Amino acid sequence: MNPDKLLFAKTHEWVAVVSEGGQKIATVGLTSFAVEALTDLVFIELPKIGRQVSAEESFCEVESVKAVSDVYAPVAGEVIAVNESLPDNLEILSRDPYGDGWIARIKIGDEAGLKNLMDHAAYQKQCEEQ
Amino acid sequence: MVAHRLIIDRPASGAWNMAVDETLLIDAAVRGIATLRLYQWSEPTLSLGYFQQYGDRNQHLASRECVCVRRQTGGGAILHDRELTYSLALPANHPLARQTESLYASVHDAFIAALKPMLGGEDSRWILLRRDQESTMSAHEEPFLCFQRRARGDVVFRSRETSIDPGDNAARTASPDWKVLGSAQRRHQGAILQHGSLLWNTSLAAPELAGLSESVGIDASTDELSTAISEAILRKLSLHMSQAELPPDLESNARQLANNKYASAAWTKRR
Repeated sequence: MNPDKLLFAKTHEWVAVVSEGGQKIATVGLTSFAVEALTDLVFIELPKIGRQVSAEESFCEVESVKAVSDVYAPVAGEVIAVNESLPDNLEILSRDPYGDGWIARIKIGDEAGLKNLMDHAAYQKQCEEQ
Repeated sequence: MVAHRLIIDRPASGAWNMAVDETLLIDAAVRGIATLRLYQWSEPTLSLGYFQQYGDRNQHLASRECVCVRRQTGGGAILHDRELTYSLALPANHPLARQTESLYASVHDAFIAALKPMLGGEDSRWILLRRDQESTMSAHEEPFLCFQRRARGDVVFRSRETSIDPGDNAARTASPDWKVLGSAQRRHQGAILQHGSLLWNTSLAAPELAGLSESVGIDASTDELSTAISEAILRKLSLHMSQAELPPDLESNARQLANNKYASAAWTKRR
């Protein structure tokens, strides 16, 4: 996916929103900036399908060498799919963070949270300042 | 300006120790207060890394009767007994909160600086150093115990003397490394917790691991050690802290976490 067409959370998750059957669905992943900062990833715990999440709630965890980090849900809604191939193939996250490295799909329950997300240019500016 | 506090704690249970560390991480994230804490364990306790399987503790027979607690940080299992443990919680606005490898290296260098004079300085027959090589094993191949793993940044000691390779009398090899300090981290809303263990003496519940004190003959009390190490860490990280007790509101939060999370089988056996 082209990052210019994605939205970004300040906590380094990306979001692609599509409409399917009248519902807005968000595909969520970690940005390349975040994956590089985390260095070598060794474990991931994916959220359970059916889980209701709030925006900015930790819904997934990753371990890189010895540091455990949260991945935050950028939108509120229900987790309807997770990328089952990730736990055994974590290199996908660094190889294709905006494509095959997606983490979960969330059926958006409250679209208001989308207003808190940034476009690519604003996100890049945030990264440059860190 | 980052507010700081230094806590030198009495020995406590595994559930309490882990609950206090999580409380301090949340406090760093919410109120921006940095805390360095030095502590010990009231009984031999096995702590599992966050992603380790509970059933894997059966691999380690010597610690099977010990209390077990799950950490919120990564890495391998640690048998906490005759050791000194530290935790450092830094808020997001501290420069090292985002540079996790640098934080690891800085704290470990501070330990080396504090311990080197106890080893006899430059004339010592022992070398204490920070590993600069990464582990060559995949995550699934790593040994169960943290102190049997080797990661970049771990503190190891070895003799300066070389030894004869028993397989080849003509070959002289460097003496083996013994790991004596390893740490692990947890990030939360930009803040970071790093805690780790200095293996001081061998425990009956992990007899295969050599402690630094008895191996090299250091004679220092726990109080002397705590003082030397806390001063070295504060100096290395340019932090100015006053010794304090855990504030009552945080003590209350920690008690809830200890009872509801770290002492519960649901948490310890979650995977």
